[in-house]
Amino acid sequence: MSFPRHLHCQAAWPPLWASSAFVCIYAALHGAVWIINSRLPWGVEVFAPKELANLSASVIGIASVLFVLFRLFRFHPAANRPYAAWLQTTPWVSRQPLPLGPLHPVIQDVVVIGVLAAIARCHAAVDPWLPVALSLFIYLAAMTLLLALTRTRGYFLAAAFLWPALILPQVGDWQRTAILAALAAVVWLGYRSSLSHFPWNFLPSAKPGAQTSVWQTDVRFDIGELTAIKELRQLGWPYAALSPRMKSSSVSPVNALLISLLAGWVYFCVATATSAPRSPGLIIIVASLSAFVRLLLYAQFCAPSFNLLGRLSSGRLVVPGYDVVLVAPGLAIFIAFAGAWPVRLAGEHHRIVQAALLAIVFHVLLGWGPKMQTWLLTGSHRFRKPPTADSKGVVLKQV
Amino acid sequence: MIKVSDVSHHYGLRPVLSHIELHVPAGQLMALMGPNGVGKSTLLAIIAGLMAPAKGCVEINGLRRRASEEVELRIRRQLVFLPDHPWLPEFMTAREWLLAVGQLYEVDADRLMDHIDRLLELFQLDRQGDAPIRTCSNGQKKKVAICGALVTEAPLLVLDEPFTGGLDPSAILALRRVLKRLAGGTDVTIIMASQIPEIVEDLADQIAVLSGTRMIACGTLEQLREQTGCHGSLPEVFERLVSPQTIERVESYFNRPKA
Repeated sequence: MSFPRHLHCQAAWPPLWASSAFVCIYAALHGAVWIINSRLPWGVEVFAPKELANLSASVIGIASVLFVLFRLFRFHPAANRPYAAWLQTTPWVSRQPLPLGPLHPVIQDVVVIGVLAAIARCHAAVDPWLPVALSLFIYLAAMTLLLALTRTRGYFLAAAFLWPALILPQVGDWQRTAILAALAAVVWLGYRSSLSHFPWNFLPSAKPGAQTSVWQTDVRFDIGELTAIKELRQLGWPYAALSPRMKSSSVSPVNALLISLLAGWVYFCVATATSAPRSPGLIIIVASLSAFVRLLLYAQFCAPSFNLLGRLSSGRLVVPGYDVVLVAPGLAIFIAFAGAWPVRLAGEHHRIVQAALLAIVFHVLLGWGPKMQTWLLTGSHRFRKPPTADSKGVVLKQV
Repeated sequence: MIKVSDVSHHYGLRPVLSHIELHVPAGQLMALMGPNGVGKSTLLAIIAGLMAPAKGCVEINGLRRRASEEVELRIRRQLVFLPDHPWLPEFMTAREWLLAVGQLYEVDADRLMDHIDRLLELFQLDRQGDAPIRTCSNGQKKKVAICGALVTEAPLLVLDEPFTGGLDPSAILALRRVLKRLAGGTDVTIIMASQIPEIVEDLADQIAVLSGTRMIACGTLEQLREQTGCHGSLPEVFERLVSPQTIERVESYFNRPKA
């Protein structure tokens, strides 16, 4: 029997050692339980059948998750960086099939998951849908994350809007199936779109011949990638702070709007699914933490030119060029506090009001200026000297 | 051209700079002198863009610092700053680091490689240049940092105490000649802080003297002589400007009757 070429891939079989490991672990589990229950002298059944079923379900579930991850990490160029580096050296273009094998389900996947389902049904007394549902969930979740990693923003956001809808209690089985189908379609279209933008130069080490030797690494020193101030730190002080190529990424107005709507939507779905009580405190906590994170991001490289005593002594209590970074976090916290009143008035619709509040808070924090690039280049601050070692282990030492 | 207009700054309660006015024309070398802790490094950091002054502004070739993103990036491409204590990546070799710094300033690759070779040879780092920076002595690290400023080929150099930090006599001589050639023969504009009068006298087209948060004198050595009425060497002029009581104090120290 022959299958169409795109539905068949020998490379999709799990490695022999992995299959053997599963068989050994599963057999060892059942063998051990059999010995403990029937051959040891204490005469009572230590493991009830339900407990054995749970253990079997765990082993089968883990096996199906690992199989899906194996498929993704082996065949997706964004997850398999040596593969991406090699692919870059070939004449491959995105309309051709990937040379190592496809990411869409093939007959080998059906066989592997089918075998796991059969073991679950016939031997382990576990719901056979468990490995099927789990592998589908992991596949879609991981593919959604890979959309974010490959910066396929539109599709990623669409998928991110669909995911929370699955937990809404108002959604019935058919609607849930339709949402899953839509999610699969979005993920697949996004994946094809991401391939059309290959090579993804923003991913570190996705370059041919990466890390072959220290000397080679540095000859290839690609300054184009070292534009963010954090990366420039390895050039030492003060080149990191005064780089003529400083380019810091920021959230575009459209992305700020979409991400804040997404935050509100996720909150609404989770609050509805968990029947969360009316609690403006949660919004205040989230707003305060997010405001603190934003402030930390802006202040980590830049300190005020002069401190509070300096402000008091000079009579300049407000320094507009520096204090501008405090506006958005302050406003977000104010909105969160002020929102307690409409939440009380909203009655049974309080979750909608809370979700809207959260969306507004996130929009302020993500969308309000100054942009990081503007702040670093034009703010009234002084650049902080670096610590002696940064997170990448590049030690900077004062001369 | 560097123009500093009415710059004042203070750390906490302590004022450091008050109403500083400075103008360094293109192609000239200006030396900043003054007692310790008088604000020379702060002024250079403000000119270099490391900090914003509490008051006043700095213009580089007619562009105001931190006016906008584009303007600031244009200024950064033209100016390099060598602080008195630069921080170097310990695990890179000097050559690798110089290569990275040159690329940062978009120096042509072939010219950059050649320039690095010549700089390492000039500062006698040709053997040490391919070893990790952590294996260099303090003086060698200072030389590497100086090479980093020179390899950028920036037309404006802001140098904070370039002749200190354990440089050996041959490196001091080399740097002195390089700065003299850059400021004299090309359009490179240099502003540097230095406490070594012989070097300043030899190199500087203009000398600015800071004392007690203010700039008390600025001009050529001849102009400073006229201002003080002292026709001696730079150390004598400097002494007259900054601490006219020094000679009296020295005399008093030695002539104090023994108890």
